[in-house]
Amino acid sequence: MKDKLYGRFQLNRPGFSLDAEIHIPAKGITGLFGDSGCGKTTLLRCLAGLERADSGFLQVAGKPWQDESKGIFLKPYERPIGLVFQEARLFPHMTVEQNLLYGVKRKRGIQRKPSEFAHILDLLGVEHLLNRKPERLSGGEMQRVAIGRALLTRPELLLMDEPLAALDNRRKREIMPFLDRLHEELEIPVIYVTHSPEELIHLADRMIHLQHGRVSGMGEVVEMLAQMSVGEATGFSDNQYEVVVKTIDEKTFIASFDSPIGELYLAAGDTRVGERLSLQISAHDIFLSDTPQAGGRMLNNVMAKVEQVEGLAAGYVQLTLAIAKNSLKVKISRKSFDACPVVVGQPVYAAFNKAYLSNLNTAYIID
Amino acid sequence: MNAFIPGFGPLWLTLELAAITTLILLLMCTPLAWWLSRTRFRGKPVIEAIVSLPLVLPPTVLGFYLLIAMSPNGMLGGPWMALTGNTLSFSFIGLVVASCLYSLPFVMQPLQNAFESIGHHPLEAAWSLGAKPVDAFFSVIFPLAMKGYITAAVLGFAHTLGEFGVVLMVGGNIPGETRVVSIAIYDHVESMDYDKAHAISLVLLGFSFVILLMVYTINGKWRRRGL
Repeated sequence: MKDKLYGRFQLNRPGFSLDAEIHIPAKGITGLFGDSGCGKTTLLRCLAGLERADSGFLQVAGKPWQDESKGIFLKPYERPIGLVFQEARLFPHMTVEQNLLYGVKRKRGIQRKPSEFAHILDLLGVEHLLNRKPERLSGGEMQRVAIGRALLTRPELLLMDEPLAALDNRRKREIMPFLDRLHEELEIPVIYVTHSPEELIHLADRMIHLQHGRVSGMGEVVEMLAQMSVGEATGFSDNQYEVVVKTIDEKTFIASFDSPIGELYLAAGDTRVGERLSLQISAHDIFLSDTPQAGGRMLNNVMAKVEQVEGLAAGYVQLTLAIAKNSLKVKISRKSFDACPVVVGQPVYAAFNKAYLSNLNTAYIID
Repeated sequence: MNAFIPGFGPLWLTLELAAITTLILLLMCTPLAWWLSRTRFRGKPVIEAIVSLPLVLPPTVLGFYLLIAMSPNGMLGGPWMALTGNTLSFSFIGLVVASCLYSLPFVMQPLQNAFESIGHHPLEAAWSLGAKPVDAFFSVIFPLAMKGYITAAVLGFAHTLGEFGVVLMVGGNIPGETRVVSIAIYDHVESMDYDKAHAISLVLLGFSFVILLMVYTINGKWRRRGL
């Protein structure tokens, strides 16, 4: 069997039922995606053994963790899992080091290897925090320690329940590069619960979409989001261009890109000169004005001509702008459109700072 | 020594009674308070009400029922008599049993509150890191509930120290066996021996103050350490 994990859970609670069947491959991050209340956290808790489904079956790497037909159910502490919660759940009475070593001592058959310990500390950038108490850590640091604590037990399966949801945008960006590195290094399957399409695009290889406790789809993230028109909701699928990195300014860390809509400027991130990337701009992230001055402080401020105006559902208007021989889609609320209407053929300035860059392996948010 | 320090006998007996009672209650209440803090059992309010009864019941009422239960034919005293050949009422053991009931809510409630405020989050984290339930309790829950344990121990101890009505009902006034300090003071006052009453009262006052001072000092240190 190619799948590393196969699970089937049926569970009934007052006002909620879960009926899901999932397959997860041996490596890579699988996003568990859906609205709040769709059962994604419950499903994760079933995988961790914190919730016992009335009728459940779970097999990981050929070993049964749960088989209700045979009365098999491994308790959470008997499962080789790493679990990262939304709140870091560090033990407040222990130092960071004691937190990190808590699981190492307890999971059977694991010897503490100094090299491995040092490597994970380095990977997560927490070595300078070892002697601190959790109360003296920032939200991002706490979450990194929590991830390290889970990884040090050498789990066969890493479960993450919205690990970024409790963090503000700055902390999220602080922790994203660490998750990227994990993604490259980890040889185990990761299940990542989220309700954020941005995190999915950024981190996950594939995804499972849950709706009202049922799996409504499994597959590649980009395909799935397009199918579900989640991309539509976030606007990222609207504007996609192939770009090449032209120069990188060493002082400002701003890269210039050759794109079909002219030269663009964005934070350089990990890009290299000459690299060919896919660039996505959300139709919601574009600021429109009639004069070049209004968008003057944005990194990109391109002149365009309004080509098409169409009303969308839910109070939005979509404008298609012509730039060079390409187009740029912009979504604005009906309210702001009515306050300051535009007509077809009118010249406008489209300004933006934020975009998604991705190549085949990784994706990152730039703004 | 009994002869040299006024009221030493009753004082020592009282401390012994309070210490033993507190220890038994801490051991007994830990699993019960833990269960009460987790359970979705429908009869939970009934159990909580029973546990809290000694808070509102006049000590003489509690003492009266205990006296009946502990009599050689009672539901407690009978089996005890058959087992040991001694009566349970008017004995030190009987006092311990009575004190445990009398001080039960003072130990139970701080523990239950502590467990409830900890919630299930740290426990789940400990499980996911491979800690079995007993290990998880002692390595995570117990240290986090330490303040609740200190409060429970102090309240249980202090409450037993000042016990009067129940002791009078089930224990009487047998020197060296059931003559606790509150009864000794009452006795001295009855017989107009105010000097001795003063002496014992002062020792008790000082002792209570020192205990509370220690507790608040420790609590303050912990608060600064963020526990």
